[in-house]
Amino acid sequence: MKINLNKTIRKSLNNSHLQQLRLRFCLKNVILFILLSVLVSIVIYPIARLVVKSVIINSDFSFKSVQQLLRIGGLRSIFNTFKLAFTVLVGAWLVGGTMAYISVNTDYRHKKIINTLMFLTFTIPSYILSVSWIQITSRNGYLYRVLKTVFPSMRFDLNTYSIGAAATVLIVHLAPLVFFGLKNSLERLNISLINSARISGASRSQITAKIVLPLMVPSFISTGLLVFSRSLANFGVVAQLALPVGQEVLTTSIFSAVSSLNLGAACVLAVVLMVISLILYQAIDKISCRERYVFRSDQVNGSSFIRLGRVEGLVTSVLSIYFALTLIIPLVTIFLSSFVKRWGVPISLESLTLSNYLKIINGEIRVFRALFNSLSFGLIAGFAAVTIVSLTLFLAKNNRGKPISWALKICHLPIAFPNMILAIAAIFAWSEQPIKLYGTKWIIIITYVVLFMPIILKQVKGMVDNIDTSADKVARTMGIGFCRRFYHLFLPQCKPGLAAGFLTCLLIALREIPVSLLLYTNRTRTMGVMLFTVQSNSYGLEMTSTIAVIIIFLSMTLSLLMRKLNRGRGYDGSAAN
Amino acid sequence: MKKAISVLFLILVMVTFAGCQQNTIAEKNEKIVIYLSGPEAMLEKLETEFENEYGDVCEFLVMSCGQVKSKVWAEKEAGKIQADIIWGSDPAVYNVLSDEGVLEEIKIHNKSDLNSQYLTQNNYVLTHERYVTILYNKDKFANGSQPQSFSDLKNEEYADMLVMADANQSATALAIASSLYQMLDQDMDYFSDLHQNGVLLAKSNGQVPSKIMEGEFDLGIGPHDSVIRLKNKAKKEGFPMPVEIVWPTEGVIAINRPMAIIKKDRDTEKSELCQQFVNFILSKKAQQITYGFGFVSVRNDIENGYLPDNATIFQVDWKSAIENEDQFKQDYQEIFK
Repeated sequence: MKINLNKTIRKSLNNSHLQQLRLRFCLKNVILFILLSVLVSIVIYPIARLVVKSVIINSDFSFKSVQQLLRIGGLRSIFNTFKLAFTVLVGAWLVGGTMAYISVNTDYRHKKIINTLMFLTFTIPSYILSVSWIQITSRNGYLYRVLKTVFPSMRFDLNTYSIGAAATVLIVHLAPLVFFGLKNSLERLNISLINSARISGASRSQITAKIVLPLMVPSFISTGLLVFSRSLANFGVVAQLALPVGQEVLTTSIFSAVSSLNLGAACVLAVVLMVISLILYQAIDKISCRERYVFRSDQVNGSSFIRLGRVEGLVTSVLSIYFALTLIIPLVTIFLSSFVKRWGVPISLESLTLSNYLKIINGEIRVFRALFNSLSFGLIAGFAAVTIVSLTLFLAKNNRGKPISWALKICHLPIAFPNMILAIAAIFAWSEQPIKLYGTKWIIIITYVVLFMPIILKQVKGMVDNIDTSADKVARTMGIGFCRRFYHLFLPQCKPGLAAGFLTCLLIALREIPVSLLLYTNRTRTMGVMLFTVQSNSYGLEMTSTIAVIIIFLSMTLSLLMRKLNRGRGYDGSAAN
Repeated sequence: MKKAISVLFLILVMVTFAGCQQNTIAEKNEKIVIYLSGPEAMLEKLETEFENEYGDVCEFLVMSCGQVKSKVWAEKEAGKIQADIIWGSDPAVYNVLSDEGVLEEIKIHNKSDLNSQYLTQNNYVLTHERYVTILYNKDKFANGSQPQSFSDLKNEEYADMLVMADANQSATALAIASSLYQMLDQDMDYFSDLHQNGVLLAKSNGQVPSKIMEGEFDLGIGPHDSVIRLKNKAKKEGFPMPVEIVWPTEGVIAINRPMAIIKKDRDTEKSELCQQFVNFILSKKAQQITYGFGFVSVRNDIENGYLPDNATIFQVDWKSAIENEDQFKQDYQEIFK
């Protein structure tokens, strides 16, 4: 009888199902539990509340908000959003694709300059580009003044404010994304395929049409979808250039709905935008996976370059005009405007002043406070995001199981949501008791953590995938604990990626507008809010330009630092935007 | 280097947490918390003057008019308005709050000093008046061809010249638009005509005179006080300021800035302090400060030098404005989309 009982107990212990359910109170499990709780609280809970709020009004299930959405012209916003995103996509493909082709497939001499200038264009925040667009093209803008001097009797009517203007600025800003994406793919194109085709007698056009283009299609689509989703999520440029003439897109409609306390409509609009973004990111993920099988890392074969010959001069001229219009002139106008007493007054020695900078230094404009807020929120949120992501990756690297893969997925999830959605979700999640964070800095910091996690994950994931697990296994066999293995073995191996991710977070915190604009109070004003709101009765575009100069300087410094940290890992800066 | 970065990070975190502690002190009700809007320089001056007399007792949370309105509304819906005093925006929201019994009665010390037209039956006081007018660039209308009435702005000759604040983004702009609607016999077509004529919608009322001054637009609809402040600034900093005011023939729209004390459990000393603050804003000293920033005083002993003798004032029916607000917003959004 005794033997039978032992057999039964052993049998039940051997039952694998029960073994899986058995709770093991080791540090790893406790950390995993805490991690999952934190991730569910800061990512899943706010998004779930947003979705629920969009259909439940006064505790009843209702589609009233949807009706309200239709009434306030939600469909028009959706149409405008797609119109904008599609225009930007085509423009960015055209500009970025041409540049990438010249940079990789031709013998053009100044490829390094193209790279650097594209990189610099990308480091300028899109909102600042839109400010310089106004300074150049508006009535009494710099272009208007020059034309008026040359042709005094002519009437000029430049369309400064429209969806088209917003699309133009976004094309300039997002073309580098396509450029870097396609350039990387073209450089990794398997040259042996081209050489084989050439040996078999294929012409250059045949090679392009039948080998290069089909191999490039996934890359075209994935960078295109990225540009498309970035255009959908953009707020600052559209608010500056299209909203003033009543042309709304989803992000500006959400902002207007929140401003006029129409929270039901804001929820529905947010959910629509969220669903579109999720679908796009799923598509990007799938295509990126397919891309891996298409490309192989090979050396670029110099003999396959297209010789530009006499056309090189023409290419140089076109590129010079492009970069003059999209980078040099905007930078010069912003810089010049920061030294005028008031934007709009004729430029002369008398109208130039240092007082805009002095106002910042003496505290009349509280830029230092905003800079401190941006940096401290960025530092704290960046540190928290680095901790969460590195712990999750460490657990995922050395263990398997559903909870760990859930944690990883939750960390990655916010990449699909535009910043505006994260802010709206935070408002609904943290505005009521018992955890009322709305109106404090913590709501911004928590939303930044959510925003930063997938960015850090993107920076570090590849590095962690290449780490050999045998060292950790040996350490575990020797009885070294979880914390020591994490700190002494894991962290040093992915330190450059974490550092670059951390700097990216700081860069985003420095220029981010939608999250802080919806969540700030008088004390928690950030640089992005400052830039967006400083233009008022007291200050014109000259003060916006002064703040822009500071942001451009800091952005470029941080971007160059990141580029240095990522050297050899193909950094394109895309994570920062 | 590593140590330096660590120390810097630690300092930043400590300072951030220290800031958090300040918030907590404010929440512990040791100071009176005031949600307010207005020019920051003016508010700073008023805070300094009041605190010179009573000590460091105020916690100013400066926002836009729209934010004051939405924050108060959201907090009321959540069950408790955190502020002790609210100041700014327009009377519409204050009427609702007063009707719902959320506001405390205000004991005005020297009622006789105030102009009787600014005394209300509700539990809030009116602290200033501002006028919605037509603003124009005098250099662009050197021959005196500027519009004379709000209706003129629909004319084709003023196409693509007009800027006004967006009622979707600014609470004062909403008040201005719904007042215009009332003044022009509830004519929604007026806004359609402005839209057809290429009106640009600015983020805030403050941007309206700025955009005219900078030469981007020639005409605007906005409050007169913003022009006064811009003129003061231009004089101080030495740049040309071509923006002038037309007092429209239909009349100017008067918008009053209210102030109210939120009804809540607080100790006698603090309640008294709230009453003192409201009375300070109505005092001659404070009203002279605000007058300098372009706001018309509600006191008898401060002359209104801004409004010309021949100008007529249109008083807005705020009760009707709040009743029709949803429908108005909907129609407005329909036009400007």
